Amino acid sequence: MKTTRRITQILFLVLFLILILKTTYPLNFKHTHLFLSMSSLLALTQMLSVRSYVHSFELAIIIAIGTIFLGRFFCGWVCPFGTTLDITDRLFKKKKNIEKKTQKKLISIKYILLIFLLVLATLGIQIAGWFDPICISVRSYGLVVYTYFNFLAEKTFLILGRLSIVGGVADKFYNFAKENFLAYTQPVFSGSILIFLFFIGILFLGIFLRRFWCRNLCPLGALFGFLSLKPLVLKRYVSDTCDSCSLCESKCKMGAITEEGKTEITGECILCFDCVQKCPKGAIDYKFTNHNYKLPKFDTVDISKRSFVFSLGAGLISVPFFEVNFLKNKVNNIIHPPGSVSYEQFFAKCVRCGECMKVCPTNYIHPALFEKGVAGMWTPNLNARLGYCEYNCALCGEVCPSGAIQKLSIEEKKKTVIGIAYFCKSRCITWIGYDNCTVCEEMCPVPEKAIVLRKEHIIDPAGKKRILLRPYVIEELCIGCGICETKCPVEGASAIKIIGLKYQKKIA
Amino acid sequence: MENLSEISRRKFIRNMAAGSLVLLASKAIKVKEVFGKSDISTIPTIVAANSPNPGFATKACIKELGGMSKFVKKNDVVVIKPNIAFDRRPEQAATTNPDVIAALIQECLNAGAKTVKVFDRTCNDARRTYETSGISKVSRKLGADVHYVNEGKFHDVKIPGGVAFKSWPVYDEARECDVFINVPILKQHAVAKVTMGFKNLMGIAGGNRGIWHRNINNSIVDLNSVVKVHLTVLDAYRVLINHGPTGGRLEDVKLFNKIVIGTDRVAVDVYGAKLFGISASELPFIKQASEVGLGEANLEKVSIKEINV
Repeated sequence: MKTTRRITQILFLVLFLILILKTTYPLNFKHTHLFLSMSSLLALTQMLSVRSYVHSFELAIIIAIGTIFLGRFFCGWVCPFGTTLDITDRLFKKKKNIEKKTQKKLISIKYILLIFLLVLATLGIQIAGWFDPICISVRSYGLVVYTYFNFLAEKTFLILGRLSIVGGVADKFYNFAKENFLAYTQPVFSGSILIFLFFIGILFLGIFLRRFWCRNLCPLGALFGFLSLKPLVLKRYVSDTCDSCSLCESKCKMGAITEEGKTEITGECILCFDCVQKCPKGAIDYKFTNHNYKLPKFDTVDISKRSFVFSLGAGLISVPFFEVNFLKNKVNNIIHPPGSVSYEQFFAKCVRCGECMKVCPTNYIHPALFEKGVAGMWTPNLNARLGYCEYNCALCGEVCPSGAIQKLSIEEKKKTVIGIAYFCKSRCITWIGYDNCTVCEEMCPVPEKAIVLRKEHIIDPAGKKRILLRPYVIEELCIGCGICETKCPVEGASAIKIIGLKYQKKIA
Repeated sequence: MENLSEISRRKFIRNMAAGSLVLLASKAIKVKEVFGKSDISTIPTIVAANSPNPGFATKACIKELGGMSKFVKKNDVVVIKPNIAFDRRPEQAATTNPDVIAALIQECLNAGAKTVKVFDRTCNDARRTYETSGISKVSRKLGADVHYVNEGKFHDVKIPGGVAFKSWPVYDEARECDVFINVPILKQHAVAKVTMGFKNLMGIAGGNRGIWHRNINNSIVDLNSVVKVHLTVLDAYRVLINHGPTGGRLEDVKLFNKIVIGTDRVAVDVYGAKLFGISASELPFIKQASEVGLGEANLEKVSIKEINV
C-alpha cells in the first residue's frame, strides 16, 4: 500500500510538473490549471469573496465530498506540495515527533489561519492563494524553479557548445531541449525572490518536524481536516495484537497518532499507510468495513475559544490594514492582462497562482509586490518595458483558473483595450528634435496603426532646418499592447509608456 | 555539286565551319542549347518574372540566372534569410511568401547543398511568426534546417568603413555559410520608405537594432558591407503598400505578381523601388551602397531580363 501511495504521489507530481512545463505557447493542453481547480480552499474562498457559485471548481467540490468519506487522501496522495515536502524532508536529519501537548497546539495554527482567510474572503479580500499549497507550488515551480533551471541549462549548453569536441552533439541536444523543455527566452519575474524565500522557508521547516507545513500551517489541510473530522467510510483500525510499542506514534509524519498508537487526532491522518507498514505486529489496518479490529479513539483538535475568537477578530480588524493603503493605481501604473474583470473585482477573483505569468510568451506579466497595496501581492501586473502583449495571443485567459482573466477569442482580444500609450516627449528621439526613429509606429500591430507619423518641419538645437516624422498616438485605436514601450530604442525608461485602464473596454 | 565521295579533309572542315557560323548567327540562345553550356555574357544580372505563381516564378528566374548549381556547389551550407519579423499570415504580405522559400530550398537541395538553414531574428515572438508565416512548415517539410536564432550566437563584427557604427553583433551562422540568399518582401516602411534586400539584413543583426532608425541608411549599408550576399530574391508577389511593415489589413495589400532575383543587391533594390513607385534618388542608401562598391545603382548599366511565366 505504501508503494502504491508513493508511486501515485510521484505520478501526480510528475503530471503537475509536466503541466507547469506545458503552461507555455502554444498551449496544446488546455487544462494546465487542473491541480488548481482541485483546491477546495480556493473554491470556498473564491465563492465567498465573489458571493456566487464559481463554475471552474467542480473538481474541488468532488474532492471535498471525497474527503468527507475517505479522509485527507488528497494531502497524502495527490498534493504536489506534500510530495515535494516528503522528498525534501529526507534531506534533513530524521526527527522524532515532539511532545503531544505542543504538537496539538501547533496543529491548531492551521485552523486559525483557515478561519482568518475565510473571514477575509467573506469581506472580499481573497488572499488564500498566498497560503494555498497548490498556488504555492504553481508559483514556486513555475516562476522560480523553472526559471532557475532554464538559466542553468542555457548557460551549460552555451559552454558545451563552445567546446569543439562535444560542440556538435551539444547543439543537437540543445535544439531538442529548446523545443521540448526550455523557455524560448529566459523568463524573468520581478520580485520573484520573495516567492522563492516563501517556498524555501517552508521547505526548511522540515528541520523541525516532518511535513511541518502540512500538519501545522496548511489552510487547505485544515479545510480537509475539518471535513474529515470522522471519516465516514475508510477508517484506521488497531487489532488486539498491538503491544503499545509506540513505534507508529513516533514515526507518523503528521504526528496524528497518540497514546501509544491507540488514539488518532481527528482530521490529521493523511492516509500515507506508513504505520500499517511499520507496525511490527501487523496490528494496524485501514478498512472500509469493520472486522476484528478496534476503531481507535479520537482525540479532538484543541482550538481554544480564545484562539477561535482571536482568528475571527484578526480577520476583521485586518481588513482596514488591507484596504487603507495609498499605493493604488492612482499612484502606481497598474496594467491587467486582457480580459481581466474590473479592478475591484480582480482582487476578489484572482487567486495569485502565477499561471498567467508562466504562460505569457513575452514575459509581459509579472507578480505584483506592493504596487496594488498589500492585498495585491502576487496578482498579475504588466510591465511593458520588459514584455508586450502579442497581438494574436490570448493564452492568459485560457489558463486562468479563477475567471479573473476571462477567456477571450483572438478577435475579441484584439479589440480589448488594456491601456493607452502616451509619449514622454522629453525623451523621445523624434520629439527632442534630432533624428527620425519611428520604431513605435513600425511595431504597432493595429492594422490601421494606433501610432501615426506626421511630417514636421523643425529647427533642431543646432539651428538647422530638419524634416522629421513625429509619432502621435490615436487614442481610439490604441489597445495598450505595449510593444511600442518594449521596443523603444531609447536607453533606460521608454519614451512611450502604457498607462493601464482600471476598467478595460472594447474598441467599437 | 561535287561528288560526295571526293570530299577532302580540307573541304569537310571548311563546310563544318560555315555551318557552325550559320548556327551561331541564327540565335545566340540556340548556341547555348546546342552546346549545353551557358555563356556568361548572356546571363542577366537581374531576372524579373511576372507570374501568378510565386514558387514557379522563383524557379524560372533561377533557371534564367544559370541554374542554382551556379551558386550552390555540392556540400555547401546555404543560408536563406526571409523576412519573418511579424506574426502575420502570407496574405497579409508582411512576411516573405512561403512558396518562394520552398522553391529556393528545393533548388538548393537539388544543387547538392549539405544543409539549407532558414532563420530570422524576429520582432514578434518567433514561435508565432515562424508558424503564422507558413515558412517553418514548408521548410521543415522539405528538409531544411529551420530554427530560431540563438542569442548566444551573435558576435561583434568590425565594420572597417562603418559610418553609423564601427562594429555590430552579427549572427555567426549568417557569416559562416557558403552561400547566402537574402529573401526580402517588398513593403512600405515609414522611415526607410520601402524595405527590400538591404533592410532585410537587419534580421541577422543582434543588439538594440531599433536605434538604427536614427540613421537607417548608413546603418543598413554598414551592415551590408560586411555580409556576403550571393543572391537577392525580392518577393513582390503581394506588396504591402500602406501601414507597413506590420500591415494586417487586406485592403493595404496589392497584387504585383512579381518575383525579382539578382546577383547585384543594389540593383535589385533599385529595381524594387521602381516597382514600388519610388525613384532611387529618394533612397539615400542606394547611392551610399554603390559608392562603397556593393553594387550598381544605375539600372541602365545592368542587364535585366523580364520573363512571363
